[in-house]
Amino acid sequence: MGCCWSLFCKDDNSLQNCEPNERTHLLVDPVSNNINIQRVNSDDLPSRLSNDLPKKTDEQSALTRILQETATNVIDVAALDTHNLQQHEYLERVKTYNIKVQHVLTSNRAVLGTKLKSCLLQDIPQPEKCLASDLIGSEDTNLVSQSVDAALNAVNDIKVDHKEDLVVPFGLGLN
Amino acid sequence: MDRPSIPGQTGYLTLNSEGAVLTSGGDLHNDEKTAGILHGLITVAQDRLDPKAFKQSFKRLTVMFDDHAYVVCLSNRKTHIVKRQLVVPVN
Repeated sequence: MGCCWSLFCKDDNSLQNCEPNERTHLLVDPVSNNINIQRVNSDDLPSRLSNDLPKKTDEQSALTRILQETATNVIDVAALDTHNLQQHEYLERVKTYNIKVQHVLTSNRAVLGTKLKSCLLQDIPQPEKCLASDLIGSEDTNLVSQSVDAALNAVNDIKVDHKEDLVVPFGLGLN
Repeated sequence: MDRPSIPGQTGYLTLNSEGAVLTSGGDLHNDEKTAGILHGLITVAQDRLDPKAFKQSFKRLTVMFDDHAYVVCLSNRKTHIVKRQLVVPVN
């Protein structure tokens, strides 16, 4: 790779006057390369404007093309710098993000609501009082146990009484 | 015990809203297993119960065993759990 690069540069030395060293730019500067073409074009432009209309459009298209190529190759560092936020930009962003958060919250209210309110118990001011109060009596416990046992037995006693065929010919007689 | 004792109390736990143990003592000292089970119980029970069936919400959840019980309360977004020894009636 290094050999290829150095050979390529030596070939171009006569044209671009580049001497590859540690300070050589890896990226070719499109603006400096295009300056010559642009200057030639602009010098010739007044004379060609009057008599040669098709060539003028060619020149213009070439100029436009050069401009576009330059624009695509240029990285505007100043525009990328987002750290120097002005106060009003900062406020605008806060507003935008708040709107987005509210939007997400409203769209996911069902999911978030169940997460936040998924506690069976209600919040009470004095837990000691509630914790220290008498526990449920043995009679009530027995009643609940018996009721649950009875319900469980009833559920276990459920049986399917098979009387008719599950699969029946339906609508065949009409055909 | 750090907190005011409750009749028959043998241990206590305080959990935050996410179920992590904040304070503990007695039988339930650093008992994260019990904490996880009881915290899961009050969260799962809410999903399983139909709120329309109950006119008022619950203040206390008690898990009864033969000789002891776990009493769960919610206060200031913290879950308070107390293990209480049952007074077995002399027959």
